[in-house]
Amino acid sequence: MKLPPDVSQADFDAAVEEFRKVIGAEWVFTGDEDVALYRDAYSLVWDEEDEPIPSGAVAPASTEEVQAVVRIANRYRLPLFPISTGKNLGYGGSAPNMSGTFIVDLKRMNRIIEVNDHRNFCIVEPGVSYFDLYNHIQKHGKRLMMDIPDPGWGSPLGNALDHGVGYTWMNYRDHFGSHCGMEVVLPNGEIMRTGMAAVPRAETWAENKYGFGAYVNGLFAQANFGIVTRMGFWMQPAPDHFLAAMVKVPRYRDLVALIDGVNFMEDQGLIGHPRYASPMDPLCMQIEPEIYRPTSELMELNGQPGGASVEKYEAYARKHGLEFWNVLLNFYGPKETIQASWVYAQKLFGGIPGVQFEEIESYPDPLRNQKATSGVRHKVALGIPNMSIFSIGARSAAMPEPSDGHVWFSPIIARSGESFMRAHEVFTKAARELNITSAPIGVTNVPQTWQYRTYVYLFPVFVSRSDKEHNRKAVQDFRNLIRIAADHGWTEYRTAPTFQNAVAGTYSFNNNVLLRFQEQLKDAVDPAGIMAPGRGGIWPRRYRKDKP
Amino acid sequence: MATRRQFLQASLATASLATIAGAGDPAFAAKLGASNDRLKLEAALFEPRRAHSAGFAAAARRLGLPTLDIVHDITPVWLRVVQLWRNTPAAIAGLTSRTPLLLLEQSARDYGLRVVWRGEHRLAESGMITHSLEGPKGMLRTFERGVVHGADYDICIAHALISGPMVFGRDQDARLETVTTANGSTDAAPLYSWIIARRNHAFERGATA
Repeated sequence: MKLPPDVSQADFDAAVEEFRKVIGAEWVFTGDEDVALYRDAYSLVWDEEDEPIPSGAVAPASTEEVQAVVRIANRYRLPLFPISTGKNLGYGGSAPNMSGTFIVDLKRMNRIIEVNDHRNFCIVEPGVSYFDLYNHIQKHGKRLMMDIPDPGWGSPLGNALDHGVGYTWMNYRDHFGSHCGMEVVLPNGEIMRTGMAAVPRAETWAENKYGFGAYVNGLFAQANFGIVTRMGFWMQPAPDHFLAAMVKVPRYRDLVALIDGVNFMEDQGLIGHPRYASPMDPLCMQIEPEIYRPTSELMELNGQPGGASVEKYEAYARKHGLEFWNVLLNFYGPKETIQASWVYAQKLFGGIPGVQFEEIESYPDPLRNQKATSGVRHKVALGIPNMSIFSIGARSAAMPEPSDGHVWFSPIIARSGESFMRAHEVFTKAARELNITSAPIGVTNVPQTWQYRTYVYLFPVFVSRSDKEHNRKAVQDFRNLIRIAADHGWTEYRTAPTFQNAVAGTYSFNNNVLLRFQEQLKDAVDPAGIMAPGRGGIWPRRYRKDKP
Repeated sequence: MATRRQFLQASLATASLATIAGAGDPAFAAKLGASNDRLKLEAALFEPRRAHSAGFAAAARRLGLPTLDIVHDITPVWLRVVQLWRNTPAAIAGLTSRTPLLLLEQSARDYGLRVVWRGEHRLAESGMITHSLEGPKGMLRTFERGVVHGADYDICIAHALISGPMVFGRDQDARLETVTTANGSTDAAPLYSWIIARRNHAFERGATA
């Protein structure tokens, strides 16, 4: 067991003893076997000296118990790291930023406070999972559609606090953006509520975000200014009808016209999440192996660092009768309206030479329609929680050697074809020069459109449990990619603890004043530096000098 | 964790590898030391596309244990297991790739369940399969006896996990490192044998409801 820096064994033991008294001995975990489960199972620094390993965990059941934990931690200056359901695999799992930090596991706080399908909102605690909320909605016959990430075992609250994203309609895909009002235990143990939640007897906690005065909620996401114990979310009504239809284009450069058209439709509110794919892209093949099938010829093209050239992929696509790109347009609403929007889309894209249109699926009342809930191609498009994303890295024709996990590289790119193709150039060049074999980088990589107004250029960097040298190179590759991306104005929206300092450093305008401002706030709000040291790259004064 | 455990070292590379016909029969189980002193397992999980995993499942069925197959999307099996755990701390076993084990282990902790047997089975460059096993001593002995008799390792794993004597407690845990012939297998991706069962812990049945 690693003690946190600057905490004596005697103080650690005293804090643990007080946790046991207040929370109950059965909810305080310090045994190796228990604590091991809070390590990041997808860590690139697994079993390395710098792997951040917690010293223990405590599982409070109420906001009052969270307050008690925070007050005890303050007394002994014991650093804490709150998790909701702790399932943030690919972005750090449930591991803290600093070894010795004590986990505050909030899964016992799993109450669904309210779900309202007339005014379309919910209020939940951190331990509620997407599966829990979905089951509650189904059981009570609520006419609501959730917006969920991959996979569904995580927590709406926890996902929002890491700026997680989803798959349905514009603003709902931004999970932090669609939250409304929160309850937070501050580093001194006081409870604060924000927005209309701060108004006693207000009925509008989850409906009006701002109330009056400064909007401080952003301080509690990807940051370390408190432990969020309740959050409200705006929700969307279950649609009358769902239609998914595909536009396919044959050439690489058709991406420009495709994106322009999709932006035009989405910004008018005519479509939900547009899902881009290329039948030759390694990640698409891993996510949908039953649809996008590799050949040995394609595996050879994809097998070299940075993939093959545009010309070679275009030739492959022509030879095999494939499109270079496609985009799945998801329509929600009255059947008549969405059919008209689909007709409009075909007119809009009709000028692209060689364009093809295909209606993929169409379901009335999709969330009460068994055929839809069990048969829809992408369950996430209807907000139905699932675990299918774990096919990534698993053994398949496109991935003969399975990985032991992955971390996501996820820089933000402008929402245009030119910008995305520029990113192709930069990242494939980097992959070739750095001989990156741990990640599928190529000119077939597709824009990920979860964030409503920007793209994420996403690829997994694969992890090995048996090859430390592979991981060490992957860490170095990842750091190089962060630097190369930042040189072009691109940087991550979210990252695992190992890379959070580096990513925070790329938001560097005016000598990193953004980070320095957060540090000033940190020192004022959390003078003992107990709350999630290092989260979001924000270190308290106490650990700033020696931050890992 | 490992420091609290006893370690057994065994080298079975030179053991007789004659195949035993009728593995899965009561007679075979008797040879392996099948015991009534064991935990009741509810199901065995496997991946039909992995030959050894499928072999394990076939042996499990012969031993009377229902099996659940993971084809591509783990969601149906995961939901079924978690639903089971919501109602009872059921013990399950598997011989799968790493991801199903990881997902179930992460979920198991919420219900007071732990991995109490963990084995890695990896094809080595030598053409042999290396087995790194950690679990109750009696079960390790059952596996060991099976491979000495020359049965395929997947069958031996099924017998060890399903029929082997399972006395819990950290002082009962041991580790076994051994190798067997690959018997023609070229599947380079490792498989993991496992049992998830209850060990004293607070996240118990109903505690998180």
